[in-house]
Amino acid sequence: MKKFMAAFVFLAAVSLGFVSSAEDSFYIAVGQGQVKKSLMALPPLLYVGTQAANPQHIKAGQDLFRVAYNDLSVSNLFTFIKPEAYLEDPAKIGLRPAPGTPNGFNFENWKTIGTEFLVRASYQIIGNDLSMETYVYHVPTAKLVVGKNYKGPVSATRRIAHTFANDLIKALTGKRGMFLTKLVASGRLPGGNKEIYIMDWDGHNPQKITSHQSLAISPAWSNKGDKIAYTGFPMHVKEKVRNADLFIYDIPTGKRFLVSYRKGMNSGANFLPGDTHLLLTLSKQGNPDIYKMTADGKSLTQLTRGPNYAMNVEPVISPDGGKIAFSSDRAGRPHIFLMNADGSGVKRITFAGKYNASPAWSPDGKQIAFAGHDSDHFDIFVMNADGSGLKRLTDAKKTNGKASNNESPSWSPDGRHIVFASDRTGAYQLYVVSPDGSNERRITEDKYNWDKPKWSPFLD
Amino acid sequence: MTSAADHSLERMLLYSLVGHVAALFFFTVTTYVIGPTEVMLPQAIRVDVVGLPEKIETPELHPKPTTPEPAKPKEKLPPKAAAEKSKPIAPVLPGPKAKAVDKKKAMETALNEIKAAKAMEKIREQMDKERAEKQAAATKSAVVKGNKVAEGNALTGLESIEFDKYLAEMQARINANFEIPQWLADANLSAIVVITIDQRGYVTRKTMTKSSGNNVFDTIVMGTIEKSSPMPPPPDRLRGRLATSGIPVKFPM
Repeated sequence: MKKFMAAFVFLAAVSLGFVSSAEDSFYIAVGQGQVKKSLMALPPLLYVGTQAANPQHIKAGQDLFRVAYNDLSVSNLFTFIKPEAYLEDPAKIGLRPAPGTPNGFNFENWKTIGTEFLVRASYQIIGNDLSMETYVYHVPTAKLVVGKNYKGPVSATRRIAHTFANDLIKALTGKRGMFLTKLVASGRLPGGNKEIYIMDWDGHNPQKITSHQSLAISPAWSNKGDKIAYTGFPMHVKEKVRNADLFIYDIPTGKRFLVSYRKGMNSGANFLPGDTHLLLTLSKQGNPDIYKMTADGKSLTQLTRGPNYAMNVEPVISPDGGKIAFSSDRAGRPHIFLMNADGSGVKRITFAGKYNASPAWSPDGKQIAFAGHDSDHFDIFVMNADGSGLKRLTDAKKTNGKASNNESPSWSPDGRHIVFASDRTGAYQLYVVSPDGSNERRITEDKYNWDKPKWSPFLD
Repeated sequence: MTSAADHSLERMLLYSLVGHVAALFFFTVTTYVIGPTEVMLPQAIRVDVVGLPEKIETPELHPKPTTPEPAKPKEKLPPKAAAEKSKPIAPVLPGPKAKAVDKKKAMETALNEIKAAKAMEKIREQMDKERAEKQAAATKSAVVKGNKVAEGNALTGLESIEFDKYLAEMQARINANFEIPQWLADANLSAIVVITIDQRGYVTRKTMTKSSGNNVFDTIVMGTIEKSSPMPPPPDRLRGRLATSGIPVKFPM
């Protein structure tokens, strides 16, 4: 009887298993839905301190608002509601909702105009200290998304605003915001020298880190974000010639180190994961080839050898350290190639266009951006890492109607933006664009000509 | 001699009797003890004929393909807008042509009158034909043409075909109503709702069996189901199942 019962239980279990596995296959997978931007109300910040008419206080409030507005705008997540549509005057209501707070705002007034997110913020300046109080509400559910206070010196106004934008993005998407990252680029004023500058992601606060008073080009961030490798052209006294040598600039100490000064080209550096080694191009044997070098410049491993005097330049390691993308004219014209990290398994991945250069890996390693030249100018392109799915991201014209050049792409560490240099206004300025070609915007508005911008890793 | 013949006949009869009894015993044993021999029929696989491709008509009105330069996404118009844009606006017809249309209309009216009597019969025929086609779909699919392999059909019955078709209709309807903000799209959330549907297609019950952990996403998911009701009326064979045990709807997997 016991055996019979056991057999019955077993059979029942088996049959139930079949039923549930059959049930598992009976479902509807809805798939990705339509994606929309969220309506956000971002009124100017309220000043709650003394000396409200002080110009410095007014400017700090304007800066906080502009920086946060620009950050949230470029995030591509929000559409901002025009202040004319507001049913409540944000200057006359409090930061917290009513009831509960005297003079609080009414959720219904914001819901009526379709607001999904309402930002309420105030600031005050006491002496040299700026403090900001922020609340972001999800209006349909009447819930607080972010509520934080920030404090710092007035000189850190922009940083405080960037931090708030980062906190909001993190709270909403669960992913880090990139608003405290930086760019490094080679810049030249008209008639001046080319030097290396570090600036905020939005083009503000450019800080010169080199003074070679000649040419400083092709900067690259270390993975920790504490070093910049670049190529300068110092005079080699014995030979009485200028040589393209590789330097590493240590950001915390402000010191620079001459790392590789082999005869010929020492350029196009790219830090490998861990920052103990770099990839670079050397032409010490006459032919530009790609080498792996220790960060102190002492030990070398050659990764490419020609062929047939071909040029192999601009190596960039994939985020997982497994592959190297580079450009080479071994096929006649410059194209993008891939090889394993040890130099084996070279594979060509671009076939269209006349001149493809400056490959840049997306942070997830799935895509490669590059500058492609097909008719008479360069544009920014993105493709999958195997060369499929080629997309053009830029096509801006100059004011005279001619096509502009768009070059030197580099990805933001969150993978949502690509920075590049474009001469659409005459001088080379920096722009960002989303990897799908949307949301293109200019980020520098100055007299410099910028070249080879590189986006830092996360720095906060 | 006679007795020898009789003995021989008796022996033959005995053999025959033993033989018959043995045969009877054998069949009895095989039928009731061993059971019928199992005939193994492997699952039927249908191989559809792949025909040669049709001639591709390229009407002159259609725009010629441009250079294979990768298109810039932001310039891409939504499919509907593009279709509307490319649709040529019909010019106003001049007088004589309008008359021709009138004549045509008159003829059509006359024909319609003649056909009127047969209309009901035709509808009946049409219905019969559709029913026959539906049944035939289980055993015969359209010949696939072109340089490709036909998908074929697993012969699992009408029910499976109806299931697939109906589920695809439901999926399309729910997907069309599933709209999420970009900030949630980036958060990689998912939820499962089990819904029951009555015979008219109305959602009678919706139960979230797996929450995304995000209230906003869950609210959107439930709202999407509400907006999608009524669904297309389920086919007869599915009514019972959809009305009682329901079907899980996975967002967005």
